[in-house]
Amino acid sequence: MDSTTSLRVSAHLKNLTLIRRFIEQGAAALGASPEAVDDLVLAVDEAVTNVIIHGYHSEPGTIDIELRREGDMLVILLGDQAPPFDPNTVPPPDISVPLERRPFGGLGVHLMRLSVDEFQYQAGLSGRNVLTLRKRLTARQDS
Amino acid sequence: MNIVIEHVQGATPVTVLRTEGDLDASNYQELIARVQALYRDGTRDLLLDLGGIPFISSAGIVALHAAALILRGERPPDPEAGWEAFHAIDRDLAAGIQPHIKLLNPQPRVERALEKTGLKQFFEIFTERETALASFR
Repeated sequence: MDSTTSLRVSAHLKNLTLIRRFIEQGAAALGASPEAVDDLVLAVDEAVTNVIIHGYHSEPGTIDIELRREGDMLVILLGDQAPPFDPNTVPPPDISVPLERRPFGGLGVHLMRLSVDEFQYQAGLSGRNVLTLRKRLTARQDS
Repeated sequence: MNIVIEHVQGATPVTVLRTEGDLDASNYQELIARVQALYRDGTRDLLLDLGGIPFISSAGIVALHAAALILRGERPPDPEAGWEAFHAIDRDLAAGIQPHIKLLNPQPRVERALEKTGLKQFFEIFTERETALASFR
């Protein structure tokens, strides 16, 4: 049975470094390739930053992070109690079109999308939002 | 994040700004503020040494673009506006590579973030400091 590693931190930008180190060390320990680790670190940084800025609006709160392996995939769950901020509502930016049509925050979500294989957002489950990120242990060359 | 400033007096005076540490949403405004101060004090050509940045997020990308706008003498985007920083990228891309701000030694993770955001084509990137300095004219 695969083990789960977890971290609870206050929703503050000063904790981004701690969160990145947690993901970097945890993903590597679970067998992720260096490229996959880099992608996960970036994806989680962008997701957590969005929760802090667009979810909690820099008000006090907590973020729960769980990291586990399922077969050849790494699964990361990010939980918060902020007002919902669904990354699926942010359309992917197209760098070839005028950027005025892109919403605030879209670049961070864009980087998150590019960096994982799947993500799923569930809002307001018992007052808790959960973003699930999935990433193959060995990153694709084009990821 | 630690920032080191060096003024190099050559045929064209160039300011070298080296940052040490991750560049993310917690500190990107600090970099913008330092570039603003340099421009206010007379810097017109800037070499950003990224060799000491192991990680950059989208917020750091905003800072690099803001720095480019500042060196063009434009008002930098409001850091709180976030996405506003990107409204000008297409204009800048149409204008080609920027001559007054260049990048030195971005680490692989940083270079990949530049590629993913389409910003890499916006900057001239060097691996040799002397070559980079000589390229300003």
